Amino acid sequence: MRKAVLTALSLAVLLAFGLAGAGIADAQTLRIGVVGDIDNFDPHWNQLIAFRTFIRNTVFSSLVRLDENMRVIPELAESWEQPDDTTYIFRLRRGVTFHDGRPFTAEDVAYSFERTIENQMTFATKLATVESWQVLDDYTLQVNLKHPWAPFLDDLVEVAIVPKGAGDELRSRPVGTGPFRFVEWLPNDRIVLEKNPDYWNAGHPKLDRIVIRVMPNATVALANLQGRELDAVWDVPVAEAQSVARDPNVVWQRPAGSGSILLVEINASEGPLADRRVRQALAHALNKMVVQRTTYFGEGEAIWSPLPPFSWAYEPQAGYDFNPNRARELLAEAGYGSGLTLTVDVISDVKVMEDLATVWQAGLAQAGVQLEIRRSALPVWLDRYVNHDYELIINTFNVSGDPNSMFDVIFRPLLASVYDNQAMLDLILEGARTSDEAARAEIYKQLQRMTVEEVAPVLIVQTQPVLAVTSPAVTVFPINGRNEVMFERVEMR
Amino acid sequence: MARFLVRRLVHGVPTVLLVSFLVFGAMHLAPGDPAALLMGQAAARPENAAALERLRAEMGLDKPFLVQYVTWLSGVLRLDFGTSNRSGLPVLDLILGRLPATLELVAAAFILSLLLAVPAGVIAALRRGSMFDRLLMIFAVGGVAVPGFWLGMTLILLFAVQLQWLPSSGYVPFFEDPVRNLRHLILPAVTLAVYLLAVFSRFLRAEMIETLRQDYIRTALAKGLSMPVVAIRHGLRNTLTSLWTIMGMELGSLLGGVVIVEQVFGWSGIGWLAVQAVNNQDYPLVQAIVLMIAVGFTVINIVVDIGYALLNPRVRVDS
Repeated sequence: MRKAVLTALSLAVLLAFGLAGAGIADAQTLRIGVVGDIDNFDPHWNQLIAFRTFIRNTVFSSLVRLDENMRVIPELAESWEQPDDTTYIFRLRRGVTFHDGRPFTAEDVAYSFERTIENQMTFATKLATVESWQVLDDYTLQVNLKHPWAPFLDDLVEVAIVPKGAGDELRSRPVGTGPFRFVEWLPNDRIVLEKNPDYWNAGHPKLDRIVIRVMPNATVALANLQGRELDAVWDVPVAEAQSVARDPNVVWQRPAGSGSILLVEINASEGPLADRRVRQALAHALNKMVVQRTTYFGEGEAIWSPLPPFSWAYEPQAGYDFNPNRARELLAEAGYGSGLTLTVDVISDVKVMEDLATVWQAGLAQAGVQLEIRRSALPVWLDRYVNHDYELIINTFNVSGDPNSMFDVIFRPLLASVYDNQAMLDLILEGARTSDEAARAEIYKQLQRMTVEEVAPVLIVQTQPVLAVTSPAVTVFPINGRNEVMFERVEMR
Repeated sequence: MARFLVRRLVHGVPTVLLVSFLVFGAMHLAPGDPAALLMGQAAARPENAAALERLRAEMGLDKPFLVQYVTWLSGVLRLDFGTSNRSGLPVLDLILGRLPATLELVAAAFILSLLLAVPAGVIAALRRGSMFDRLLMIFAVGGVAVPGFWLGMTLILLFAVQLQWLPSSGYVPFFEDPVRNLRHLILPAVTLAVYLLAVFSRFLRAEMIETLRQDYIRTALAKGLSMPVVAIRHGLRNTLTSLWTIMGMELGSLLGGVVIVEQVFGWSGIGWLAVQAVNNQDYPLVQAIVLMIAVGFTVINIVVDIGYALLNPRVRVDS
């Protein structure tokens, strides 16, 4: 009896220590897997989504940021006012310091604007409408625009604030004002971040450390999650997630609405694709239901609009039913009754692209069109994309909170090169230069209808499910519609 | 000996140069633009054309091919391998940072496979046709045939996911935590060793069978020595020269296996670094890695030749 009590007691003590120990040692560190290395930490350079979620939004901050519902909320700017359509006055947060201890002031914002523009890189386009800025005092900054620009705040989300004078060393040692500070980077292995104890948002972040582990592919990453070497895996394809769906130790995490869109960009500058009837025939030959079932296991939403359903400007479009006979008729009207051969470009190891192409190929065959699928490695695909050397090319895009992001990033380059439509171009500009949101929504609805009717410059397929998987120990894991995890709010048991 | 070494090293130089030139050419002939790859889809925007040009110039890609090659080569002669296209970090640091992991993995796989292959090969040769011999031969065929990727994933599913005895992936530097380092090492080392064990044991068995037929073995047996003693003292010693050759050859061809095993187990060594560098079209990094491998091959060959002389007194390195 005494022995039994002793055993029970020692077991209880062991358990208590074990659990307490586990609580202290593990609960504060999130080990998260990402496929592929992040190898450049300069926030004015790197625009990859993995960089944005893991470094850009953890180590760095902007004047404003997006919340889970893709709306702009204050970050380093506490508030702002707009005396007129082209002037913004930002009041900056006081008492914020960079991770190296330097205080944050309006001079750092001015320097970050300057550096972004001088670098001529990706994000310079986000400041293209800015005419000038003045540092009114340490915590007040005035920005003057060349003309009214409604998406300005949405654009500012992309402009990271770096300390004044920061240069190329940011590429390997990032310093910002974000909730986590950079500790170390072992290329191709891991990136370690730790809690910024001086972070302005009291009570955040909840985690003490984030260990970002580089994984060769999703299968290996999921095996690591199941083997308890990881607590989370970011950006998991649905097909892979399905394979672990029945494991009780795996939890799916997803945003309220996905802004990730699978689409086909169309070179409508010459040949058969310059004819609207041919493009409409292509739409009639695409069986979206099969795409959704085979590629995404029924996940995501089949849409025709170039905006995701969560957007305030979204208008559902009826689109084109799957009807190979109608496609055949349209082709005959356009003079291609005797058949047609087209080529579609996909990235060779991106399965969803290949799946879409295969389903479309089958539908088109019924309409008398032979679709050749050209698979290339990413560098080759990108080369064709950049030089518009394609007929049809499959792509994906993450729409931001403002509808302009889709029209500016995807539509405008196409309208300048492979699809001539002045009315569309005018509407895109008008949408961005109109301040009133209700008026803007009307403009974007017109653009959505026009895109569907013309089937140009893009054919929208569907929203892609945005998915991360975690262990049940991860209790809070907010993700927004463009696949960014709000690490500041992530919590573990 | 010294003359031999110098001569072999000098002979190695043209080989290494040729390899470096071929790789440099192949990388530049491959379609795609490293600058656009760095910039991503934004490179398609007309307003970014100037930035793209500037990026190409920064990477030195705007110069003619031969100029780029000579610039690179002259840097290498001054031990300046340049910086990575992607991270801007010195290429030499990236490689030296990853090298210990790969060397440790290869050494562990070699030692493990030899420790098992030598006794297995000798016993199988002595007991030809026995159950042990047959099982070993089945294993030898299977071990060579099974793909490393599949074997690695199977071991992960069994020992890491199901049994949870060992970690599924990652690399912990030995001096940071020796115990964890070894725990992480076991599965990848075994995956690599299975292939080597199959090759070595089958080879040793065949060599031993051949050696045991020699006259001097009969003489030794006639002196009254027991078979196991004869097999080890006379038989094994005489198969070592050939085993040494096979080891040298396998060390070279192991590289392909290392690339795959490192990826499966997230073992951040040179193999995985090379794959990522190729995918990213990180020219300076790819070239430095290939150059290092070419030099490594040359050195291994020389070491193998010197080893002959030590193992077999009839061979003279000066001859």
